[in-house]
Amino acid sequence: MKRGLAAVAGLLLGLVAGFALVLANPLVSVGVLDGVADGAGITRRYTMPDVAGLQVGLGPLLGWGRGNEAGLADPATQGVRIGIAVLPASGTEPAALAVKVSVLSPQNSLWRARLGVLDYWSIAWPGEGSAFATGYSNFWELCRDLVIALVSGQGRAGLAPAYAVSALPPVDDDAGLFGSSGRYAGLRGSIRETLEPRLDGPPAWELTLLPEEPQAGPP
Amino acid sequence: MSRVFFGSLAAGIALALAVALFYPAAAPPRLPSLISVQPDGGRREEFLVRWPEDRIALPADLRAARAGAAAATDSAGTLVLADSAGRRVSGEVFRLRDAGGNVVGVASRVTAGGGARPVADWMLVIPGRGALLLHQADATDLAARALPGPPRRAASPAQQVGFWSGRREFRATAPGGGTVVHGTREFAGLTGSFTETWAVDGKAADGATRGSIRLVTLLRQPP
Repeated sequence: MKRGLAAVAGLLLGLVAGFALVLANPLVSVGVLDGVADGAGITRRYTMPDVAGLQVGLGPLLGWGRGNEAGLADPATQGVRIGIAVLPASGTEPAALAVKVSVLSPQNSLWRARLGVLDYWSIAWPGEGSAFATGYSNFWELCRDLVIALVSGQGRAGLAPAYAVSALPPVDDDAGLFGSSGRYAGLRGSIRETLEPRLDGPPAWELTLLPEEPQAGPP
Repeated sequence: MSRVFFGSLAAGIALALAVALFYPAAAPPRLPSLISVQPDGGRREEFLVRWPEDRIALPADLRAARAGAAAATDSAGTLVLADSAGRRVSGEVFRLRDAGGNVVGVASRVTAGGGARPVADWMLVIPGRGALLLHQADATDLAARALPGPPRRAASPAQQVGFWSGRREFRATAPGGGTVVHGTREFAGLTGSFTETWAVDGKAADGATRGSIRLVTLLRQPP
């Protein structure tokens, strides 16, 4: 009896210690891209209430409970999140309409601190032009903090105010900004995204479009 | 007994690390590509969107449908943003099928109209294969219309019965064809063109239509 209890206690403690090691693994890099200097690029804060499919959270990113949404229940679309947002106007820049499609990365790995999605953007400004963007968002730090906050009983209040989620894409995938029409035609660059968790609702996001050559791109 | 405890502890740590090593394995299914090779070495692949069933209902669509709005989900699933000069952009999202009718991914059509040169950007995202980002001049201004102000939902012109008066098929791509802006993974580095053709299969008395959008891509590896 005592031996059995010792075995169970040892196993449970070992599991906890093992997962703690994974969460605090010092040998891996999350690969988050450098931040954006003040005034660089075009930054827009947005919320995306009109979303179908995969939600940002530990369970869906681990593959639990996805694919139960009407329209996205086919095997090929079960790891897909799709939404339409309005990127607000700022100064002389008009508002833009943006479609964002995110796909659960097939290269997610707890061992390598990769828990993310591949992002695809199609953005259009009325009368101004349009652009595409691709990127990779790694939610590892957010998920790690969620686990710690839940275990410590702090709930969402234990999360950081914001998480830079844009990271180096996995092998075989790429990230970039690709202008397609109007004043954005031929534009090349990259994007950065920041997620701000909220206690009382869906998260807020910040998207920055970073042209490679600011003088040739939009002001 | 301490030997049992520490042995189990080591086994627990090893189990946790093994789970971390192999989980999550979330490779999306990859259906065979239905590609035909062209005489010049290029490859031709066709994709389909069937309306209304392939339109992906977003929460706003579902709310409108639940509220019994006059415009049902399948006829008003387009979000439109317009400015005071009448220039507008509209966005809609669909499930994407291969030529055999199998759902292989999702697609978005973002259209800019009301200006001098209407354009349309298609984004084809196939989780098992990658993404194709396509741009074309719109043969006819297919951006849905809305009044200036906050974004509104409206019906795409090509999904309204009036658009199909006297015709059953419509090529939405302007002469010259659309172009591939970028591709990822299996489509990385490919260049080429595409055409978009709408065909109506049926018109109902209440003004609703059903039909399909056929996207034909011609891709090749640059020399």
